[in-house]
Amino acid sequence: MTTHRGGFGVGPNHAVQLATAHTSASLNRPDGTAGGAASAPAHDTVAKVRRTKFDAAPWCPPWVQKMATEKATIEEVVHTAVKRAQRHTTEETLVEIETLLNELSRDPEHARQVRDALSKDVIADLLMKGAKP
Amino acid sequence: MSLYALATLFNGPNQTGSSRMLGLGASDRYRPDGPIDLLTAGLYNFVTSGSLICSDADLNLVLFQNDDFSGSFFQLSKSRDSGNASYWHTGPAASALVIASNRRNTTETRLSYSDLFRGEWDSFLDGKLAGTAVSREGEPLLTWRMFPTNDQWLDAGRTYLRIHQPLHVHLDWWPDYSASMDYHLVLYVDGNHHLRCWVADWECWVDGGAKNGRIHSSLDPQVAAGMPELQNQINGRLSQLDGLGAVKDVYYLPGRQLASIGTGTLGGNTSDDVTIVVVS
Repeated sequence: MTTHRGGFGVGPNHAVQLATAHTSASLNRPDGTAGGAASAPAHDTVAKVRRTKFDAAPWCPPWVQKMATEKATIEEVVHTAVKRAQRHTTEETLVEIETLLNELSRDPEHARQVRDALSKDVIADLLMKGAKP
Repeated sequence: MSLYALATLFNGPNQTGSSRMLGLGASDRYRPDGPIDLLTAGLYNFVTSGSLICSDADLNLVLFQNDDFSGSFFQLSKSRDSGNASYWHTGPAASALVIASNRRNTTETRLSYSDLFRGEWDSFLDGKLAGTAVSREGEPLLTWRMFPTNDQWLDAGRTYLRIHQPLHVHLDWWPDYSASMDYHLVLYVDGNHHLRCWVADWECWVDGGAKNGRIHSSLDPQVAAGMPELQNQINGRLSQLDGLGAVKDVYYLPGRQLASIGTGTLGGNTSDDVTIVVVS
């Protein structure tokens, strides 16, 4: 039995106890399951999925490599990344910066720097640019 | 291309600790984040707080009990018109899914998977099983299967509706066997902008035992042969929706969400139902 609690704002006073959820049937197939697949139809338009996986390993954008060579601090990398996002709001740039900042944010201190640099105003600005046709 | 929604997840309270951002671009519908991504960020079952911000569409962050976007879920939703919002959360977060809904300048029609398909399924299966040694063991499980990994029959980049039907096999004198059959359906927009379905795979499981092979030999071909017939029957049902006009997209929300929840939260289980959202 698992129960989630959550909500908006801060503090447990707003907690909502949810109805107990029943256990879902396992999606793992038991041994000995037989099956087969069919091919997709010719005109098959489905909802788009955002992926942020990069094939190259280890992945690191050249400008970050350059900053690392020049002994830049993580904070400087974060600020540069945010500026790049503001300057070049292309999908490619945003995905690259999201991936970079997620890597850095695995460390709580770096996560704090990202949170501070990527303020609500900065995000709102990015979204405003995104809203333009 | 541009950013139009961003969900941030923190493993500490009040947006502290390690974090992860899940962005959605202008044409994106889903952004899945699996257990490995959450684990490496210290967020696996530790999504404690975060923020949601969006502009052109409502933003839904769904946290799941299981690694594969299934089981008990908790959804935090923010309307596109209500600025940014911070949230708190306790409970499982073994996988996460960000879904854009209610995009500006579109019309959404929300349908219950269960309401739409259960009757079709029962009539399809009961017709098939009439006069055979196999009977339906209760109602089917109607759920979803999102981005299945390590699956020989399904594509990790797709989203599926799953029909799982427990069966009972009666044998003369011999003890009865349990069995089950599954189909995975893909809803898509065809070249005429109509919503249609294709049955992506069939599966059949039978209890282990001396009669396993014999039952499989009899049951498997029938389940496989049922794919085109089921597909035609469902497409007949879906053609009744052609009056909705030109369909642009179709996507799913977990549970039964026949009306948008705007800014708010929702809990449930992916086995309860799936909401099919038809965008026109």
